Amino acid sequence: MIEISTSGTNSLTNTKAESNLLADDLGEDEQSFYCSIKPDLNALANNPAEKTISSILNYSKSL
Amino acid sequence: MSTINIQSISDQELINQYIHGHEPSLEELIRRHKSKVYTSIYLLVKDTYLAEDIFQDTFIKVINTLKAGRYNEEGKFLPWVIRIAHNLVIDHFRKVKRAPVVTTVEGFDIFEVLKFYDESTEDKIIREQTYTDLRELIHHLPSEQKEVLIMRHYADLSFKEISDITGVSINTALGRMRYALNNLRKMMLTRELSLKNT
Repeated sequence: MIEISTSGTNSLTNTKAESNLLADDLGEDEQSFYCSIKPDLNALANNPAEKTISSILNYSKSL
Repeated sequence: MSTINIQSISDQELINQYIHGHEPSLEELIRRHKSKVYTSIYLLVKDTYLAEDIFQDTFIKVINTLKAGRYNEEGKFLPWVIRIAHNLVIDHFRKVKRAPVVTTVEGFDIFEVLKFYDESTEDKIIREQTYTDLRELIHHLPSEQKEVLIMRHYADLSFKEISDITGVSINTALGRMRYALNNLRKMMLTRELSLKNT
């Protein structure tokens, strides 16, 4: 039986390595599909209105 | 006197400069990360005006925290901002008591998806619909899958950072990404079949 637990691990030394490992741990099929839709996903990226950014900057200057 | 290009300065240096009163550093931080933060918010709330409001509230919190000297996320500015935005999105849905198109299971209602396509593609050319369709498909994902996909792709966070923000294990975050991709693929295939049969 495989027990999945992180209680015995040293999170400070292991998490980064674990993260890097798992980041690449999508299956070949999933990676391939993900790559195929990346351009369409990227096309959905958007930006806030300039007015919104100006409001934020003005708020900061007002403090 | 040498001139330092502000765009080459790290986030942490910009934060330090801003804390010491250099306002242009804040502007650079916002411009550097605005697309990742805004897109992450927008795809979760699906409303431009609301996304603008939450984006603004997010950076007001950022400003207040930085100016109060309470920032302690050295080297992790973007994940910290995304976490604030994520919490504000959750607060919003709690307030209006309206869940974003979500189920708590890992699947989705295929009949709802078919119904959606029947309605939305009636008078439109398929190619023109690609981006709208993909956006809608993302919205049909269960919320926990949607947020992982958005944080991974648009905010460019690692699964470790996503797991910290969402309070789940790295394996769970990774699993949700897998489900998100598989469900997107299923919905796209279903959509193709649906269009071919019309």
